[in-house]
Amino acid sequence: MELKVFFMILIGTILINNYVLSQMLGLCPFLGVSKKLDSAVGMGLAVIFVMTLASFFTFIVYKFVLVPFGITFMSTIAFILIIAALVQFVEMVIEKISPVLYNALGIFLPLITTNCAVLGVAVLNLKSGFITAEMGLLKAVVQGFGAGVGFTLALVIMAGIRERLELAPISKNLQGLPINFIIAGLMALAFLGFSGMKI
Amino acid sequence: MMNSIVKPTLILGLVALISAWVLSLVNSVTAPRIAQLQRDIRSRALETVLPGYTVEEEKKVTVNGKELTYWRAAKKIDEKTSRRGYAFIASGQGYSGEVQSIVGVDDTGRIIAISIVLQSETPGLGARCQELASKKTLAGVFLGGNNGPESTVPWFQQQFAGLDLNRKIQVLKKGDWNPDMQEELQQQNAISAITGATITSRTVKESIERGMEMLRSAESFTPPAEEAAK
Amino acid sequence: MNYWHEFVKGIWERNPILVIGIGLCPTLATSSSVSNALWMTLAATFVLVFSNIIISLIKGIVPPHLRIPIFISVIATFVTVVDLTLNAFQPEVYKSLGIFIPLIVVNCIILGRAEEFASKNGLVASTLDGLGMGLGFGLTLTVLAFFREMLGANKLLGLTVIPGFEPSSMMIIAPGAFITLGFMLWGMNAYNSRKKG
Repeated sequence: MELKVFFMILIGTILINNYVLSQMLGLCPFLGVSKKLDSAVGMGLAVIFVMTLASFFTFIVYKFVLVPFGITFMSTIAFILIIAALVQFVEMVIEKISPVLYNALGIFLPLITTNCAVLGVAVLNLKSGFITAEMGLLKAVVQGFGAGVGFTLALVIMAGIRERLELAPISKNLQGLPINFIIAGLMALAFLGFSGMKI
Repeated sequence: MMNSIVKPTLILGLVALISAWVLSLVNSVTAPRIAQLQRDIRSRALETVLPGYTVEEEKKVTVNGKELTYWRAAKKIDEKTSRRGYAFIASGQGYSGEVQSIVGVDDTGRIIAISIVLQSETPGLGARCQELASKKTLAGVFLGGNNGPESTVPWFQQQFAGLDLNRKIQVLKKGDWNPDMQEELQQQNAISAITGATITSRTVKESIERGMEMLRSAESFTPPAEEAAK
Repeated sequence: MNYWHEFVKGIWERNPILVIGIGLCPTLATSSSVSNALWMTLAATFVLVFSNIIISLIKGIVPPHLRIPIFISVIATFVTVVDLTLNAFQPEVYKSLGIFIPLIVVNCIILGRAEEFASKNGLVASTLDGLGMGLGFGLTLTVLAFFREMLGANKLLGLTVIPGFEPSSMMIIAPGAFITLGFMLWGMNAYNSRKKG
């Protein structure tokens, strides 16, 4: 039973409620970093990493600091500062531990602070009622991980399509952002098919 | 070295203090209103689902580790007799979070009305479970045509009124509800799902059936058939 | 300094969404109906103007390396003010905008203007810049919402447009948002290139 709940959260965030294609979160990096497949993969991995950690820390801070002190109205400020600090910290740690990984992910990390999908997952964890739910922390972390995977999936598909698109004869006015949005729309339409899925 | 750590920390701390002070001022104004609104939603929902009844007490029952909050209510029919009614909170997992409704049932196990109080489903699809069937049109507003009376109960929730919880409720895909379907749906003890949001419709239906199951363990109901036999 | 120019540049010439291409998430997510779009504009413009004002006032005393965290704190404070106020006084609006109110914090338009403009310019210019950018954001959002609500729900501001017409609910949800914005940008490119050549 419990396992099924986690599976549902995972499938829900990756496919059905994909953060990019159905909730429209994290569009700036989705369009900005999807030019090349390898940088898309790098960005995706960095986002999965930060989102999972951010879910964990924002949950802890909300439940054990903000709620006991009765200052839940500070949650937005607290969350964004946690995420900013987290990104800095992760950047420093990766640089020390694995220079190879740092070279691959390094340039994407600062961009993540303003990725609204990261703050989005922190806020959505609150809205989903995980704070009071049993095993809420684990559910929040699973949701964070799933959201990151969903983001990566959309980003990688988009990058794959855009690499092909370079060779396609597209009318001048349609090049760049307009065609990317139309592609994203078609992808979203395809992902809509998942919403009939019964878990 | 010391200075380069202490000074920024102090400045950031100061900024955080100022913002916390500003926000606590705003919060002291808004918090009571937000709490009041929350209470209003619940009491208004109770009034909707138990029209004419007086709510007597709030109770909780735990079945298999799950808790159900419900209310006992009574309605006077004449001097001597009164009928019991109940309202309970049904909650289920929709696509994007919890879907919570308050359901009123009479003592035969028939739904009086339901009111969805919390949902965060997709706008335009599942979120339409709270949509009113408005007859107002743009031309009507500008040209002052006859718009007809407005309904106050969302059409999706209206379908549940009168359904029998002693039998299974069916979810049919007949497109969006309209008044002509009402009779047929009632006969089949069914609702028509919201177009493109069958899952949300089913979530509501299943959460109601689950809640009713739990309520049965605490209160007794006389199905209409048995009542007729008596 | 030409104040008028600071005000109008946000509407077309430096329109944050169409030209600079930022602030896309709230644009797409809250343009499902005209009333959502208008409320979002109001909320974002409020935050934009007031954070611009505060930042242009404190720009002299902020240590350069602490710029970003302080700016974010200022913005987040105003966002929370909006969040609490809407929750208390406009619960319906609060519900339909949902998580996109707290997400105004990471709307790149606001941090972008703070960093690029308010931290370098005076009070009046920053206020006008905030108003203009907010208006540019709002206009784009409203036009987008106009098409989406009309085609997707057959409604405008909650009123039915053509009685009996079956709308395509795809326009209300994500795919419609992407495609409509795609067509809008296409139209703008076409207009610009025709004007040039």
